[in-house]
Amino acid sequence: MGNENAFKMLVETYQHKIYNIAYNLVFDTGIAEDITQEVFVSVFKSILTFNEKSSIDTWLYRITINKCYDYLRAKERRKKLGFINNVFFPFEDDANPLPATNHNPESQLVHKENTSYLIIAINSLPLNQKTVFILAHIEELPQKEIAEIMSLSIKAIESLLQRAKINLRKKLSTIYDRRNKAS
Amino acid sequence: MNKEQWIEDILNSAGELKNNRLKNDLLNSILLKINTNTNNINNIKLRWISIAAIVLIFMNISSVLHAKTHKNKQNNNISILADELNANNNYNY
Repeated sequence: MGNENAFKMLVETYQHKIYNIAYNLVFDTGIAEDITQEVFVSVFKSILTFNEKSSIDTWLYRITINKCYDYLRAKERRKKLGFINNVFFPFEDDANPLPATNHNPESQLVHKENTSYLIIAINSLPLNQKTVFILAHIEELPQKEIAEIMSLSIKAIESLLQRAKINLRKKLSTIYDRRNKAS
Repeated sequence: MNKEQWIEDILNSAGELKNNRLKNDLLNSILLKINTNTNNINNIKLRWISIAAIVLIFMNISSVLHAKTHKNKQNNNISILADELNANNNYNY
């Protein structure tokens, strides 16, 4: 009974945090919810392997990121296979890169225009740069913790962050130019 | 607003993306998933135990049958030997 209560407390404490990271990585409310559930199911199954060398936050973030990566890689594989279908059965390009909030039309986050552009730009980053940017500038974690979560050195994290910002600026610059051209 | 300023403003708004909240509490769905997974694992375990039991029973039956066949063969050989011995004895007499 004690263990069940402890687990419930864990879920109540961390579910929003986990969901937030998952959402910012996959940009789909339904998928982010599924991933959040999967994270806690994994935690329940593997709690005995938690070695306490890292903090519980770090452990949870690591599991969350791995689950998001699994989803994104599977999505990429389906996309590549989909290309073969497209040759014979072409369908409309998905020209709208904005997050899929149609699963949750009453999403609490109101996407202001600038935030939408930021999301588009973040979404265009390579996965490791995207992850580091999200953990550093959205979750506001210290670099030392990010290094632990991603099993990289602090120097590697700094380098990824720098490249992420350069690429974000490039992408936003393109968006700015397109906006001005349109108007 | 010039481009650089616009870009900086957008990058500085990253903190707003921290505010995504779950619409519903996921605790019950999580507990349901755990129970479903546990039941599935138990079912798989039961299946393997049943298969192992059937294999053991089959092996036992096989070895009993083999032992019986072997014993019958032995008995036959002993009978043949006994007959031959008798025949030799009769001959000698």
